Amino acid sequence: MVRKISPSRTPKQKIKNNIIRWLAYVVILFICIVLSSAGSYQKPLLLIPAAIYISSFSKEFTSIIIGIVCGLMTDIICGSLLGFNAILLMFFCIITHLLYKNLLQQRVLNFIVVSAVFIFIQGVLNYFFFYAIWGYSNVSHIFFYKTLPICGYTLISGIIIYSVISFINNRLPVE
Amino acid sequence: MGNFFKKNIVRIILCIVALLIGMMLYSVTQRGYTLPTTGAIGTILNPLRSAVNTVSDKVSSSIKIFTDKKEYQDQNKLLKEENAELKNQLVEYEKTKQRLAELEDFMEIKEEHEDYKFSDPCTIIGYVTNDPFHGFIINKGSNNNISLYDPVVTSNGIVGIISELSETYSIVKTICSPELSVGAISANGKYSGIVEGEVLLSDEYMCRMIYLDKDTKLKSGDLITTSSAGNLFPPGYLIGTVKSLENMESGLSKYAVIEPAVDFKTLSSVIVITDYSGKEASDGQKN
Repeated sequence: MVRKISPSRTPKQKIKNNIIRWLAYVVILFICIVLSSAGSYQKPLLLIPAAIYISSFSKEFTSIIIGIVCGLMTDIICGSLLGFNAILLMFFCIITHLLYKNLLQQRVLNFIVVSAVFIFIQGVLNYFFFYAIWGYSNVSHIFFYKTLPICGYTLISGIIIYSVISFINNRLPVE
Repeated sequence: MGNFFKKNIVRIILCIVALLIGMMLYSVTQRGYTLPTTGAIGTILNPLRSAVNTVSDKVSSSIKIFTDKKEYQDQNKLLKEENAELKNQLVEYEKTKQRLAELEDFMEIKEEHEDYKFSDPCTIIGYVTNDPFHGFIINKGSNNNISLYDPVVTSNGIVGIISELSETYSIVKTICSPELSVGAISANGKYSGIVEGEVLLSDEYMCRMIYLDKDTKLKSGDLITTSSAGNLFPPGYLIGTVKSLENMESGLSKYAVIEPAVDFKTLSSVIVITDYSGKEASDGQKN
């Protein structure tokens, strides 16, 4: 049985909880980076769902920072133009923050829908700017056999990331 | 939500977007030289990339052994378990053997081409995530006298060029990429064209030689080497063999499907030609 830590009461406990929670997020993001850059196979871009989920319960400025950091790391591991995914993820994260602040509740279905939309947009823009725009022959093959499967893998792996981060949030509640 | 747009945060977002766009434009002007921050992050990530890649290789080798087990059972039921163990050892042995053979071959090409200057053998430490054209990262960079657009080869043939350069690592664009065009000529010197990657062929680790006449007599098995056209590679280096001849989409010319001499699936180390006669002219053209 895992003992759930009760919500912290003193400011000192709150700070301690926050530090441990953010350290755990950093470790998760780091693992996501390492896993996303391993092997020559098609892989999910784990940083996208991680950034989206973290920004769903973070403050607006934190969401922006998370989006930029995860975006830059995605640019580095994918060898894409530095800043491209940073801008995209920054917008995704701030929109996620606003959606959850004003409209949505923390439910797994909401996360799946929101992340599916953003993952698809990222995939389409990535495909458009890095392949379609250059007019390679048979370029649609990349969209159907590379981009879409990667979007699918990312969405599925996002559910695992959601579970892991939710577990951390349950143990160290966001206050 | 309306209040959000009245806050200072919108101004901050706009500033960050401007900064990121500025960074993107700066990256573009760097023409493949990584930004100092990217290089630093890459340097930190590379040992991890390398470690995770090794683990990933081992896991896939183990899975392969497991999936092939049935075949072994049919072939030799009595030695099933022993066979699996030996196979494990064999994978390691083959890897070491391949590495040794590659190093020996590198020594040979060094002796064959005395006018070329080669880097030390470079190990592949990772792959560009989800790159459909099989780009990869090597563990040598500008600190090892490697420059941008330097040819990357093995003893078997050409691999690609350095497309992004940092101090401690480089990214290699392979000949499977449509972004890379290599001047090519058949080994008998009769047919010349351009070798480039193609989306569908890159799935099979192949490329194609375009701009061939409709009446070309190239046939399956013919060897294709680099020519002096394009100046990206020293001439006379093996690219691959012709697999088949097809009509171009326009119907005006033909292209040859080329099976690269290098086996990209098992490639583990490469060598970079840092200097060769004619390189200065090619650098002039690139600039």
